[in-house]
Amino acid sequence: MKLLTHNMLASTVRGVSQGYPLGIAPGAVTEVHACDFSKEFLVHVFPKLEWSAFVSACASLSLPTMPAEVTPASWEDESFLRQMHHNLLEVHVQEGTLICPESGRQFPVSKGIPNMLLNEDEI
Amino acid sequence: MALSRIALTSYRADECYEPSDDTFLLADAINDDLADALKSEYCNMLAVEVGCGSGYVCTSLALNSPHIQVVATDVNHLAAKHTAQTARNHKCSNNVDIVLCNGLDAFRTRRLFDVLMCNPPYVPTEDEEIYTTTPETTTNHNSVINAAFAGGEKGRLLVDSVLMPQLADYLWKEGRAYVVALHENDVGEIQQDAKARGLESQVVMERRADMERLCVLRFTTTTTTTTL
Ligand SMILES: C[S@@+](CC[C@H](N)C(=O)[O-])C[C@H]1O[C@@H](n2cnc3c(N)ncnc32)[C@H](O)[C@@H]1O
Repeated sequence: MKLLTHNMLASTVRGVSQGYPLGIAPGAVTEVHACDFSKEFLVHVFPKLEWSAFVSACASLSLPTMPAEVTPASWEDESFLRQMHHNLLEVHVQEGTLICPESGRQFPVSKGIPNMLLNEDEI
Repeated sequence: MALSRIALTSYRADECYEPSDDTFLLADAINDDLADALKSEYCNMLAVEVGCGSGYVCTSLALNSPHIQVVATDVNHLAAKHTAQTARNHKCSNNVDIVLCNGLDAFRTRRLFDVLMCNPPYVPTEDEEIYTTTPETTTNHNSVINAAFAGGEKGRLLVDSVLMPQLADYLWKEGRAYVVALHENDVGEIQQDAKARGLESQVVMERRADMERLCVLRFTTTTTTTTL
């Protein structure tokens, strides 16, 4: 699971109104897989991101810190763009646990695949 | 017409949906309809596949460019495993991320996706055969395999209950959704329903396969169909 994917996932357990963003429990196992850098892709995907959720996910995984605000100058800052690319697309959570911020329901990530399936009594 | 045969699909017929005519039709329709966008060197896309099975369709899209990111979902954990392997076999595991979830339930509601693809379970069946999330079904393999084709009455359960109500919320402004339908699913009715929800729809590809008449419907949220 990339942080790009994490950024889109929410918990919809019954009764939960704020199931976002999912926490990442300490001790997650990550792998890095290099991929082609593209500023255009980052520009394309930025409006779809919840930036603050991405910033806190990076912190949970002890990745290099992302700035709280992205300014027009950020898009000219090569080192920021490289870091954003790395954190968003190259870091994969392989094993770990995602946590619903409201209910505490845990969602396991195994072999890189988060299991967001709910039981019938949770829907 | 772009044909999207990929060679190294991982599947086992007893574990996930075997790539079939409907699979190839969807992959071909997407590659054909998006041909202009896919040719561009700045082809940036965020895509989602609902019900990825073997991973054939999402991998055939991802193979077009390193700047296409696809999230593939399924309710069958063996399908998830095969999709991961299919992506690896084609050296695009970096472009295909997998999530086990029911429909689009696990995604925050927000216009996210440039492309949505789905080859839903479309065979008209008794409602009992369709997928329901109970603890047994996630481990009871027969019901998970049934989920690959059993579409409920008219074969439209996933389309009617999950896709149509949510498409407009999840598609990016110029986003496109591609959905396989069978003639028996009453394509006209699906299109009417789409219209009532403010979606434009069009049949972008049709094919006859054995006894089935299959087509791919494309849905857009606006009347414009300019390139992505
Ligand atoms: C007809 S198969 C298509 C598989 C693959 N995309 C292909 O074209 O070969 C339908 C797939 O949808 C999955 N599925 C069924 N119900 C689902 C649901 N509610 N949410 C997500 N996936 C579902 C099945 O497990 C199966 O893999």
